[in-house]
Amino acid sequence: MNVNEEYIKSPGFSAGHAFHLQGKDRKLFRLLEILPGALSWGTILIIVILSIFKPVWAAFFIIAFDLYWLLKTIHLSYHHRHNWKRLLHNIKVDWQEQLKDLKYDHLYHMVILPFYKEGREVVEESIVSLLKTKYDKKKIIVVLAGEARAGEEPWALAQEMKYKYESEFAHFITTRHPADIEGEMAGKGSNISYAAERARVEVLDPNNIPYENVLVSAFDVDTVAWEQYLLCLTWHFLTTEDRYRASYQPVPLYNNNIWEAPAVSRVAAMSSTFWQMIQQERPEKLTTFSSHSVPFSVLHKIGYWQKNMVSEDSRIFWNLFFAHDGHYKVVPISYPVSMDANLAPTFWQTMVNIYKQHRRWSWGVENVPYMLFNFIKHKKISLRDKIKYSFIQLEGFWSLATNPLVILLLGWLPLILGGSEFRTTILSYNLPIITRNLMILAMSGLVMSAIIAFTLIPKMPEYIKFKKLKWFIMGAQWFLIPFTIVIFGAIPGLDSQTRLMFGKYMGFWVTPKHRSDVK
Amino acid sequence: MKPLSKKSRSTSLIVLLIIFVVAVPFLLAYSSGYRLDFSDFTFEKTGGVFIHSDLSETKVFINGEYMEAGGLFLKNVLVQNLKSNETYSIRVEKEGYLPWYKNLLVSPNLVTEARILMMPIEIPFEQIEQFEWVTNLNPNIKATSTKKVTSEYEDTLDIFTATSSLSSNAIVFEKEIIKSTSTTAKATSTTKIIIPEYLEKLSIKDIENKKQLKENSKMIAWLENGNVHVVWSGDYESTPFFMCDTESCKEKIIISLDTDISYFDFYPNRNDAFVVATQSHIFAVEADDRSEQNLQTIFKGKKPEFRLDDRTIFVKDGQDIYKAEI
Repeated sequence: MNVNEEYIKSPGFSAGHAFHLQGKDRKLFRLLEILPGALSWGTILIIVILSIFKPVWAAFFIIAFDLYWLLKTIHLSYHHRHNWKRLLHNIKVDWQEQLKDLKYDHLYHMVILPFYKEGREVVEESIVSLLKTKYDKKKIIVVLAGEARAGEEPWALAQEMKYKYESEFAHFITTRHPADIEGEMAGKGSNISYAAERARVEVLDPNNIPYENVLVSAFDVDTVAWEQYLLCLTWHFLTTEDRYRASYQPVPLYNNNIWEAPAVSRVAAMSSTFWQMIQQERPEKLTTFSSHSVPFSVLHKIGYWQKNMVSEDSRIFWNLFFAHDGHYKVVPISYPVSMDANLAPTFWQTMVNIYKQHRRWSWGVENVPYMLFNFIKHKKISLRDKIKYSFIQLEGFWSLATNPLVILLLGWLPLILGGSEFRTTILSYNLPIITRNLMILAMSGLVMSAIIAFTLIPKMPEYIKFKKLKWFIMGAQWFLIPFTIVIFGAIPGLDSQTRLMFGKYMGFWVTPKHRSDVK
Repeated sequence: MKPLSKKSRSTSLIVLLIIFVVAVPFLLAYSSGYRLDFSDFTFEKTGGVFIHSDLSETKVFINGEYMEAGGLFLKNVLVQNLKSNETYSIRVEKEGYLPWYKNLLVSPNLVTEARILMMPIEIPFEQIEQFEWVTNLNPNIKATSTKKVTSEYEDTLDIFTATSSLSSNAIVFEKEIIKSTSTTAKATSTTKIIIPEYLEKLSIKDIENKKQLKENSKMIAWLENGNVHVVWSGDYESTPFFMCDTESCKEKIIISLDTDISYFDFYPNRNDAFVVATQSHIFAVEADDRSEQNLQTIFKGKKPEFRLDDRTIFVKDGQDIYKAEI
């Protein structure tokens, strides 16, 4: 359970970006920040150059890539389908029954709900969901973590929530993260770190609760825990070998407001869920994302979440990975938590919010230079692991930013730029035909996506009009995928990588939580 | 329920990897036109034919065998898997239209393009009434009817007169008047024709004096000795497919019929086909001379003349004037 104290103190461990370092380290980190963007832009540039000067090579590359994409889709669908079954299974399982032979009454669940200016309905629904969980409420510590910079109104709401629900839980504290602390970036990471420390000082220590007995769930404020979430999490925690060297990842379902969100928002939200479902079956590629759980003891040892960067959710995995000399993992629990899909008062604002949210998520690329830098510096991690993780992470971000563009847009470049000589070849005629046919095959997997989506959405509310039409659209919306993977996948991915490449570091953007008034 | 086992995942990955490694060379070879000859298990290079069509739902026959049909929206047709270095007889049909024929050589790994020119069997010409009867409706005088030339006939006739008969494709040269500034002699002026650069670079002798010189989308054509001469004025790179083979591109195509052509214009919206008038006929004819040029009758009369206005053809035969959409 011990962490590498020495390494934790090294400057690279807590660096948010290159300019948190000095001298050669800064230069090296900066170089690594350029790498993901250079790979993605390099790929695009190579396709453009080949399309002009060697259109046959470009066409060969694109056809091979189309096949790779199809087979990758099959491979991922296989994982997706299995996780879907597992998810449905885990929802049905009686976790209390599973836990009956395990001792867990010593365990406390600390649920941190960071919030900014979200409305009462969002905050209260999340708290109420905890009340509805099948778990001893006297073993639940709720930390409602507000921000001083949000003003008085949210703070008053926090106090109201505390007054209303304090007696229901073991402990219910409200924290108010001070604004403008030097060295911190305004965002979720700094807020929940502050909240975790306040909880330690105000709850754990005064009540002599051992840190080892506390499992922290860092939620978003719109995270609605499903009935058995804490039981399922407890079971996974207790049955995991080396449980303190692991974080625990549920499946985020963006379906709190799914019937109110527009089709594009639903597809983008469900695609994110599906991606997380696929990753649940590939734990070696899984890092913590959004709402996740971590043993308090290890969090405390490394100083909680990093406060000087945006993607604290995935960074905490890397922090713990390096603190444990590479012996740290993410355990996928294949149990859902529900969150909000993007919804704003206007369609256009919803689109802008989806884009910004996906850009923030794809800003997770800031972890790549951090990971590579620490791989270079950390001597106790095996070379095999270093190569494996580097490849997985680089390939992941490269795929996100380039694959949809190669498949849907750049595939036509040899025909446009290839010149008249190329245009007379049978290859130039077959390029769009083969691309189209392979894509149709790949897209046929969307039928399965639609089926899976139907099983994961909540019951249609009574107030919804034109119910049959709404059901129809819920299925037909999957034809938007070619559009959403480019607009809300590749482009924000490239956007983030380009910003990182040029050292234009992003700040934390709080996704506005809006619930329709239709009800 | 357990997560996917490492074994299952590895099996899936390995199977798909094997499929990828095996399929990629076949896919690349297939897309480049290579086909497996099952008789001796060797790869042979094939080629294809691409038929550009403005008409929907045409049927393409190769060497008399039906191959493919054009769609309602995707009208062009690609026929692949044709043995290379052979000449194929292509026929395109559509009900109500004259068939189109072309013999095309198919080269290895390449696509030979062609564009059909197919006229309806019956072009519905409508005669423009020459006269109309006008009745005097003045109540103060006795009602009478007089025969008068219709305004439509007069207007249409006008486009056949010398002053306004220029085609929209006709090249009109600008002229520059150069005044002599000699102090000893009486001041004189000469007219110099300014030849545009794109014509100048063609190095065609006396181009400014060519009859009925016309241009459409960089294709230059003129009438010479009763034939239409066709020259490409754009970049060599973008020379139209029918002027080139795998080796080189021709500089000029001559459209020559059994009888002299007296007038021609570009076929509407095309620079590879023409409407030509001869002694007694008006034809649509293509420039593509890779095999016999397709010639299709538009009008047969005594001594017909024609003018084009967008897709409308006006035909004047004697005193009669007709019009139709082509």
